Amino acid sequence: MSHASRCLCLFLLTLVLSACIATPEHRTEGTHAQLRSWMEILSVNGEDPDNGYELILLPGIYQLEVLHRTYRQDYLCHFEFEALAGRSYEIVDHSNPEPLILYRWRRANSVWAERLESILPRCEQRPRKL
Amino acid sequence: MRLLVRLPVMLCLSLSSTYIIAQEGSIPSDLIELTPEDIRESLIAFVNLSTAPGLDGATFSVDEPGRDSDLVRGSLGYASDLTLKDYVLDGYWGMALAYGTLEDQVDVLGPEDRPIRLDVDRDIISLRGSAGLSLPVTQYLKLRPYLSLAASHLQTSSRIQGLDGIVALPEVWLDAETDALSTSGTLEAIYDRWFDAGRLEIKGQYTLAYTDTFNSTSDNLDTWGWNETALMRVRYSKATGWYTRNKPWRWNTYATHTRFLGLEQQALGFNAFTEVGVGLDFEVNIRPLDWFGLRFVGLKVGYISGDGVEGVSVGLSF
Repeated sequence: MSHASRCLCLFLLTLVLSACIATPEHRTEGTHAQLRSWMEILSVNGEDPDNGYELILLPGIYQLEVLHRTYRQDYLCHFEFEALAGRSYEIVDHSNPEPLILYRWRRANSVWAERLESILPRCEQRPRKL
Repeated sequence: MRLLVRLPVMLCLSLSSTYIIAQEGSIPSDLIELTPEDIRESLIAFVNLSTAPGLDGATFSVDEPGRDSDLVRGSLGYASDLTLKDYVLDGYWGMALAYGTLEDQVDVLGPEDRPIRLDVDRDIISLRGSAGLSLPVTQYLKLRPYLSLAASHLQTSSRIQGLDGIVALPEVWLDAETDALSTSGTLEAIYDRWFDAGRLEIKGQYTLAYTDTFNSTSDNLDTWGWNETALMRVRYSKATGWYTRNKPWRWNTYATHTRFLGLEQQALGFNAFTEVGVGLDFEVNIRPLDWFGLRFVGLKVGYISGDGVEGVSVGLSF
């Protein structure tokens, strides 16, 4: 078997194995919005959330405080965004002018989801919280 | 590999007394003194060049007195940080399928100072997995230590013949298949900072790899070796102002210097090279299978230059 065939076989095997795996669900009911964050959400409109990583929100405008930790410093990031019913949102630590970013999350098809409509926060440094 | 080294030597010794038909002309002065250790190191270096993490796809061409070789390296891989909630440390993982091919023609000084032409074709296919940690020191600086394991399969075809017009020898062909296992430890330091729409990335990387080769038919094909690879990359990117489906395109330019520490130049014909290039990235920003993020898909073109080597690098980047 040639090397090209071996590469193709491995690639196809990877695709087949991927197709057998149930992907995590990230969906929301029509009357609410969902937000998940990979960093801890410290406050939602000034109040402590029950779950610092996943929120179910009524439509409306929200102010969030999200903590981004590094070894030397912590960063407190303030987001303001409008949650629309039936939509999903996600906060990640993509490289950007600010340490965190908020995206709208939308399933494009059965293979991938898209991150759209980015919102940058305003971040401030804080002493490292141990 | 020792068999590969010894066989040509033994065969040439035995053939020299019976099959030399003519010996004419003078011995070229540019013959390379290739020791068995160099050839063994060449195999290990080829495995390292093809499988080491952090190296991009490229073609290398060595054209120097006594040596003419072409080397192609390519890989398809993905690597990403894995956020660990409630921890400063993140995880890191990566997988890659790498492919390499080498056509190496070397004029060497054989036994009894007879000039010999050695043509070695090597092909390698390798599957590599990496896992480690990612430590954000500050917003801009990140340290990433990780371990990699690469399983490879090599095919080697060697042809030994006398140099044209100097020594007439019947051609000798040697084919061999070898498996290799490489274990490597890598430390990366990444500085990543934005200046408005511009992004500056500086990466330093050091990899220490141990490679062991195996052959089921002969113990003599078993060999091993250590490789050290150091890499420094500077990359600057900026928004182009172009959008496709509301997603931006960014142009970039980069320079990378790669050095194989402690590698004798005879092994591959070079032990360091610099690549400069330009590229275009599309911020596709998707999550395939909702498992991992794929932010940029890019196309890049680079020129490679080093001591005795030049080449090009064309490829997709993720």
